[in-house]
Amino acid sequence: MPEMPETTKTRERNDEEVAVQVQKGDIESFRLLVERYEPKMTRYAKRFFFDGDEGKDLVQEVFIKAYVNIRSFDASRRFSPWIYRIAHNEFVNNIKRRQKERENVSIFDFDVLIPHLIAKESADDGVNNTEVKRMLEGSLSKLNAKYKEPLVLYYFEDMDYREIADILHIPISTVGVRLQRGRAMLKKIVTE
Amino acid sequence: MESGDKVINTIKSGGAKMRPRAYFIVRSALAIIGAVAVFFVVLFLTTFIIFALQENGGIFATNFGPGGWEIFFESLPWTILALSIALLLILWVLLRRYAIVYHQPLLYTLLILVVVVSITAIFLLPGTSLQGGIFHYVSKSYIPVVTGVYEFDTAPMSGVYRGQVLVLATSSFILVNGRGQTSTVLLVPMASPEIGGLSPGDYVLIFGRGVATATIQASGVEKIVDYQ
Repeated sequence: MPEMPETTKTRERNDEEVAVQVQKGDIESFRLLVERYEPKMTRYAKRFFFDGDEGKDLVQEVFIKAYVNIRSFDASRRFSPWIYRIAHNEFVNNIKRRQKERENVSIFDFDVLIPHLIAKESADDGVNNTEVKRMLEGSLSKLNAKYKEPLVLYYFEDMDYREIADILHIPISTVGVRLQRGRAMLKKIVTE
Repeated sequence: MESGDKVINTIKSGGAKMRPRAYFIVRSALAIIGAVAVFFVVLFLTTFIIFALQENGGIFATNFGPGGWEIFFESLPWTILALSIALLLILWVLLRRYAIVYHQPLLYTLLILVVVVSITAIFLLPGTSLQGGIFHYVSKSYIPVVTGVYEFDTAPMSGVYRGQVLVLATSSFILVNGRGQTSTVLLVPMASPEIGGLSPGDYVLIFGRGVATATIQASGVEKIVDYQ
């Protein structure tokens, strides 16, 4: 059997294995992570209304920060929520710097204080995923940032509750509550 | 890919350097040391709160109905309590980088911390003479602020009297307080403990009505440890 080309072997490795290679000093492996995540990060930045050059610069900054801090990544956990957490911090900090939506990006939120019953992940309030995605695309700018981000991560980035909780550093039950309230807000916006 | 090349070029040109693992280990260690230090400060303050409630009688007052609860709330060292809660919030801030903490609502985390600190303090207090030792020391030597915090005797609450049993009679005894003033304590029926449980020289807290230098109608008597 012929030897598999090196690039093919590299592409078969999962993100966590690639990250371990980067931790060992393999810069070229980091290129692979950048290639895999650039479309996702660009899309994610767009949801925060970072478009064009500003969006590109921010995404590059996310990758630079990921590289600088890669040794803090625990390879026994998933890489995806780890890099999304960096992106979340970068985008939120930029929003604060621009002083826009300041009232929507608070340091402390009452939602994280009190316990909530965890809503079922499959619960969709009678609205299917495609419909929510369509409504979300059209009403993103009208949604409060607090509800917009969990909805974007859940419906566009295919994250589960635990991953969203890890990205936003909020309780898992709060993710369910924000998704539920976000969907209700979306419906209200659409019907108005 | 353009972006990938830019990022890789920045890294290769030395524009971004990977932080060593030691950096993250030290940072985590400092956060943990900070959290442990804050935990012990909260623990110390909690042992103080329990000790203060024992010394000023607040903890025993709850046995005497609604009036007793009023004494209990009056006797709580509110400033220390507020400081402890503020430190618990700081502890949460130090620990919230860990998934086990941020996955839980803040209220749960605070409740767990309060329970852990309280249980540790309750079990720790009888085993150490730390608070008693400090109380004994500051009652003999003046230390700014600290002496004021440990003054349980000089600012007695209404309805609570503290002192040493001097002479015992059938249903009364003579009490001498920390300032050398004496008073006659008359025990109303149901007072706890009964007079038979007291001996001259015992340190007691009296719950009742009267004048510290005359007669006190006691509805409750609690023996306490004297650290002074």
